[in-house]
Amino acid sequence: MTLSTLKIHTVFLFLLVSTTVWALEPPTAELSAAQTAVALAERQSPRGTSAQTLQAAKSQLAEAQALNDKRKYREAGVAAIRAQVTAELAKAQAELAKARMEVDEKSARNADLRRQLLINTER
Amino acid sequence: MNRKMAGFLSISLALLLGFAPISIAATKANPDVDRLNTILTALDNDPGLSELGAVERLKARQAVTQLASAKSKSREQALYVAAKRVETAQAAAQAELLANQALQLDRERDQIMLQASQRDAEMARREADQLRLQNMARQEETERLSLAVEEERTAREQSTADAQLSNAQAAQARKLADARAREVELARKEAELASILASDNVSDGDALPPMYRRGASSVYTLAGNSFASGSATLTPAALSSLNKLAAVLRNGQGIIRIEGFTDDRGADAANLALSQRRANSVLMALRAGGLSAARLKASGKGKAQPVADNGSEAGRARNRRVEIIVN
Repeated sequence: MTLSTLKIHTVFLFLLVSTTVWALEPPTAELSAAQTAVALAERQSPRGTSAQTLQAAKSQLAEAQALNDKRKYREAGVAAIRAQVTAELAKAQAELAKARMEVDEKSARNADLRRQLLINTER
Repeated sequence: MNRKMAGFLSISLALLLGFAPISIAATKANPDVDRLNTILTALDNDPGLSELGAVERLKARQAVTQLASAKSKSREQALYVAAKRVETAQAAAQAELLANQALQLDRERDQIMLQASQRDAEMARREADQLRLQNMARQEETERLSLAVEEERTAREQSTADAQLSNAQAAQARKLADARAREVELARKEAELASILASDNVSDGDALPPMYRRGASSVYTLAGNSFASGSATLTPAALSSLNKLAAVLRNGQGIIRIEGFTDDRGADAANLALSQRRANSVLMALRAGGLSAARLKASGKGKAQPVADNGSEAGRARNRRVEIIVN
């Protein structure tokens, strides 16, 4: 084996070891991001569909934490990412529901104001 | 060298074979990727949503791209993430659209309130104008009424002045008439007095006793020689005179006071008694002449109230008298 071949093998070996080591690390960042996403979604006080979505996110987060506790880091990372995107969806849904409710209320309020204005103008 | 080349080729082949499935999978048609891309494209083409939810849309596109290039073992995870990201992008865009609508509704509300304020201000201005006009009309009415009242007051004052003038003229005329009547009466009495004075004997039975006025009263004086000396008996001439006086006074209604007087000679008690008796005699004579007793009151005053000096005979003669005072 020449020196160059040895270098190439060393590089491959280093990459392999690095990948293995990385895969064995706990998905701390993913879990933290998922927890943050769930907390942000909860702040929106979701109802209906968004509440169900948030519940799913919480379940996924719980599953991720359980897997993490079992040192199944890869599965834990997958579940954490799912929990994060699901929680972000729950937050978006809750914001959408709120915005829709706000628009409905303001539309009704404006209609009422316009009606009152019309009534007072006719007097 | 050949061995080195052969080793390198073998490694390259191994790598090529190792990545081949990935390349095949990437180029193979992926219905999930197409479906999600279709959704994102529709979102981009929606004129109401194309500019909204940019961050979420970017994340969704990245997720779809990762899905397209995902290995088979991580495809399920990538699909899940991409689907949720796309769904999130849709919700975020719609939420942003609704938020914009809410802002638009707020502006619309402000516009309505502005219109209401403008309308209220216009109504207030109209009311103010109306009140101002009413006030002007009221002021004009007040001025008109004031003028009418002033005219009425002036007319009333003029009328009052006229009435007062008329009353004054009437009063003046009455006073003038009274004065003329009094003048006539005085002339008549003067004539009577003149006729009495013209008589040589004041106790002549053909004439009334002499009379003069004391305030509002007429005083007839019967001289002392109308009685016998030291007596209360009237002489015939005095009786005749009193009879005529009674005839004159018969039509009157006033009280007639008969007061007897003496001079200062003799005792006071005797003078008082004599004057009383003489007054009584005159009273009886007047009653006999037809006067009511109720109108007659007699009193003796004695030497009081002398009308002349008792130092002379003439004075004492004048003090001896009976006065018949007719009110």
